[in-house]
Amino acid sequence: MNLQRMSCHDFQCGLIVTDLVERRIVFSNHYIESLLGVSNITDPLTRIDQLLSRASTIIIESYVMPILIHEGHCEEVQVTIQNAKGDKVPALLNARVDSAEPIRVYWTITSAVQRDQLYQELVNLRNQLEQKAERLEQLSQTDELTGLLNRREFVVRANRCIKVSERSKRQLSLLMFDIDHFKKVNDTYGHDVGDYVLNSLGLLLKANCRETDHVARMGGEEFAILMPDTTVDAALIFANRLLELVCQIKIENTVLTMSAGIASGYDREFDVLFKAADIALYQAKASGRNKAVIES
Amino acid sequence: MNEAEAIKRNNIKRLGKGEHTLVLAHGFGCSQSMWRFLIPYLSDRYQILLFDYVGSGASDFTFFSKARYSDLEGYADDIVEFCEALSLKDVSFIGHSVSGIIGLLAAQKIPDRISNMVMVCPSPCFLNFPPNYFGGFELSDLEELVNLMDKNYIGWANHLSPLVMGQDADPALVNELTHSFCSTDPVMAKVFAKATFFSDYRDRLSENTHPTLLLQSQNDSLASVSIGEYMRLAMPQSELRVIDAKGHCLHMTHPEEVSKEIDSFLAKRVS
Repeated sequence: MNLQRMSCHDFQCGLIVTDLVERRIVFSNHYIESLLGVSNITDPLTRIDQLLSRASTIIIESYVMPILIHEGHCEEVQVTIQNAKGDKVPALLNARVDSAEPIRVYWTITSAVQRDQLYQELVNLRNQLEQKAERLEQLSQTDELTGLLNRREFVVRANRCIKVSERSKRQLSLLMFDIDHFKKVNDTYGHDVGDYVLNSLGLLLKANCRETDHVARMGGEEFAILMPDTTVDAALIFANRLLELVCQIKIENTVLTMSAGIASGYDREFDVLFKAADIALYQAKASGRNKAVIES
Repeated sequence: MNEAEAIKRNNIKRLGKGEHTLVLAHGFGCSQSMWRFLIPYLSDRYQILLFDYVGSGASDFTFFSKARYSDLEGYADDIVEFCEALSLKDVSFIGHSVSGIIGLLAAQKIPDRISNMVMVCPSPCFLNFPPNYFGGFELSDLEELVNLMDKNYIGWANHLSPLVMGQDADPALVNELTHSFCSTDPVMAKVFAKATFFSDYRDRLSENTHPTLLLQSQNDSLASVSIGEYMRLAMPQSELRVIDAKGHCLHMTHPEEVSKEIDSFLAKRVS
């Protein structure tokens, strides 16, 4: 082997030596020059940053420099090399600090075109998966017809709220309600009108509930609202307001009405609260409908 | 938020001795460990409070919310909340890079808890708005940065964390990072990058009511001297000192000079 024939210019990767603070180039090999399409970049005033894109400078200042100063070496950082013509090439940086005076940093730079493509594919795939997961999560929580929460998600959130109210000892209220004579609407006007009524009620609830309330269609013509930090009296006032508002939904000459049951507390399990509100709702129905009844 | 919760959330560490407290705030990129070179120059005279913003270092990542941390106000709220939880009063706030502006926002919310500020290599806006303002970067540069953030895995353990970071994710899993010097979660770091580099807080500078020392280096590729001059002119109660040094991490490369500037600034203001 002829050692004299070997030189660092033969490596298939860029080699650069700079100082630490300003990163001025004191040495570079031919590979760098061919990568950049220039000759002789070892002008003593050239900084390594001048070979990189502006975005790469942020990565260098925010990550590479602190790591180099702190740990003395830094591996596998992807940056963008930018030649004099402005063409950009993805590249991989490694660096090591030699702390003997004068302090030098030894950099290796390799092209990372293919790695960049692979990463881009991974990033795209991850974004797609994230969007899909978000969409699926939304679908699994939402009632399709009204856009309100479905029963399952409502129960999950109600349990969470109950835990919070247990800790804070602040009352929460559960409002259950049911459209009066909904079967007649379906039988008289058809299911599409029935769907329209459900959908309109969903919009009305969304517009009138607080952001912190949880509103769900529990199934059929039955709805529920869980109101954190709400006393039974406040819940009754709100329920009566909803009873008034719901009259705005008209089908030909029939005015829509509904009945409501209310249960409150801060230390009751969901099933208990639900049952109490349901019994109150039944009482509202039994005593003439179009009214709200508080659990007895 | 009580004291214990704040300490855990922001990984608060207290050290040093003295009457006066310095709150040291790291910038975008790493964590409170950035301050380790400066601390030996200060800890014999000052009490020092170190912390990590939520999403950086060893903060509690279960507190991360994209909505809250998508602008710098969210990071300022971290400071406001722990200053209140720890009943801090009359502290000096020392912020590196973007933390200068975060400190400004926090100081406006709690003017009695923060009495003055030192901003090391700050910038109110990294974007160019020719012909009057040159933050140093074009929008396309910053879009490239966001793309590069996606492809750099510096000390990152959770490469696919967005997929597992649902609302009900196990805190142990979410917090499981390598905790190497610069460990950062990719999603949170990207949110911080966007909040930092796409923001423009120039119009807030004139609202400053706190004595402020602006420290700059002669040659900083993220914050040029002209940005320091712009800030001094725009900010009431500010003074600019250009340190005879280069680079963006003055507190790491020139801790002695930085500590001297802090001392002489505070000597005039702290009894």
